[in-house]
Amino acid sequence: MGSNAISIGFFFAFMALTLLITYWAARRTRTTEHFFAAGGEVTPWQNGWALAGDFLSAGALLGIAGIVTSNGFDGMIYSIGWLVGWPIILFLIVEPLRNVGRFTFADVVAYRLRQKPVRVAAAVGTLAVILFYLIAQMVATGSLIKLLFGLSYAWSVVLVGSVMLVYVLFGGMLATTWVQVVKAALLMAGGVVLAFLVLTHFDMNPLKLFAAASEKYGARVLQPGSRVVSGQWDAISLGLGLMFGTAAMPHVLMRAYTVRDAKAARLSILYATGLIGFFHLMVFIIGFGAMVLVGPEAVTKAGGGGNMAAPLLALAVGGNAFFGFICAVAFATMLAVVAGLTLSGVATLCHDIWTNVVRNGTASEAEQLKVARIATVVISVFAVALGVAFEGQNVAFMAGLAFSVACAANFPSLVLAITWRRFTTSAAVASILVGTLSSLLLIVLSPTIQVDVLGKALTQVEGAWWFVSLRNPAIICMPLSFFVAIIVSLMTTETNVDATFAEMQERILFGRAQPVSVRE
Amino acid sequence: MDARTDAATEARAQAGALVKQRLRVSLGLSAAMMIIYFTFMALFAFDKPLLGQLLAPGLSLCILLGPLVIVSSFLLCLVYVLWANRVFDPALRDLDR
Repeated sequence: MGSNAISIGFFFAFMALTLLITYWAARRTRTTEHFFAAGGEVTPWQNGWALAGDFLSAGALLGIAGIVTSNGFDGMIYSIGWLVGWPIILFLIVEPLRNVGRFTFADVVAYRLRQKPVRVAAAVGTLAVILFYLIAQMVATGSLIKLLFGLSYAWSVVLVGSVMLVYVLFGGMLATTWVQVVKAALLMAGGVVLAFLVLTHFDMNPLKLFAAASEKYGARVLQPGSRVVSGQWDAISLGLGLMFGTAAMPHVLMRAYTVRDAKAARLSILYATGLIGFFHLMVFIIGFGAMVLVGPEAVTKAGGGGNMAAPLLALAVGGNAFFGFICAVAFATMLAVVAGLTLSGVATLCHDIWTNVVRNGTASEAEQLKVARIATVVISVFAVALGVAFEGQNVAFMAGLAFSVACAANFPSLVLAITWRRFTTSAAVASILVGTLSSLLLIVLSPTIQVDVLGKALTQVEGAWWFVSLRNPAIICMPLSFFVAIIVSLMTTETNVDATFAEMQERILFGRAQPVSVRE
Repeated sequence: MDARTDAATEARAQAGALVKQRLRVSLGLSAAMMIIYFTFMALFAFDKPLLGQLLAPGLSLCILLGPLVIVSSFLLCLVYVLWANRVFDPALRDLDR
């Protein structure tokens, strides 16, 4: 592609800036408090942008725009589902999380329960989410970079893995935060300009754009269809998974610890919700713009399963330079998301498993930092190896699986730990494991794996007794996980419940007076 | 009971009341969000013709309601933050004296 030089130029400018930030951050990353939580010094406004950066994956721009371009309205189901989880985080989760925990959401679940079993179970849930999400991101990244820059798939994955390793290994949360902020700003700027350029063709009136689309491709593009989400209960189940999965994504929850206090955490979720919502509205314009100005046929012909809609639109309305900019933004987006995911995996391995399970909470700062850095290398190598191994495989279901596990394993235990006096250790462990395993099992038995991945015909498996017709398991797994948690809680008892619950409630209210970095 | 335990009991009762008040607001707003979202999803799943009705050229019911769900989630967040900053935080500070 002719604009390769321009996009590579933008890309190198982004790399130079973020590596400079990493160098600056590395000099300030001396303690685990810095490595995992940026010393609690991030402002709410920065954290709001960083949350948007963490959460808006390449799928949010390229993927949704592509779905809208080929299917019209239905793409919006994903945009909406990814947003409505944020108010739930704000209302129920973020303040207790900030006040009770330190680095991970397991801090809160394990707070008044027995540390080891709960942390091991929470690590299983967290690592499953991160692993599936990371593989989905890595594979998408490899094929997109191949498409955008012409670099080979394996080298693309290695490149992204190595740069992300540098960010996390040396700069920890501080560098990762700034990478997210820069990326989110670029993504927003790209989105605003692209949506604006589209609207200039339609007298700045989105309705004229939609009308033009329906004139060209029929009113069906403005109406809900069943190509993106088939099945009635499947749609409800998808909605549940997106809403409550978002509310329990470990890399999102981890950002609650990077700010000063609960009030700052609260504000950062408000800003993030505004930014992400605004972005999704623009993607809707961009998707319809690509439909009218580029055409679904041209987008399909460009390959990448519809992902080229936004870049091709940029080429059509803004020329080569803008095309290069959007490609570079897509690359920056992938890098930032995998860095955030890796860091939260590292926090789980180091803080939950090593420090609190293996070493009973007595590891020295130096030792914890060393373990964190080893864990960073391990996760990065894993991510690259799995990314390469899954080349050309259909891994689209893995992102959905990640949300489903988050929703069924992490969300119930987190909410019950915060609100329910009777919640017990065995119940936390059981509900996390049941949520994780049932999500996995139902996906394996569903058409997602049986038909899409294994290539069997639907008629061939439909009659089997084990067949599950739902593609999205949340509607079964999440209630099941809650049910198991409640039954097991009622069957077991924890010692000294009233005192520990009262103490936790007090801590939820008042938090700690000072960030740990000041206190220590 | 001396005066100090009285004050402590009083403070605990006030803290308990504040926790309950916040829980009511949090659960109320969460319920509002879930009702808005799942009503929309239920229409999407079970009544596609209704959502597909054209209200004006270029505007169908779902294209109107979809963005409204997005806007309403931000507005609910705004309501919570305003309440928390103006009502909850001052009450908490009074308690923490």
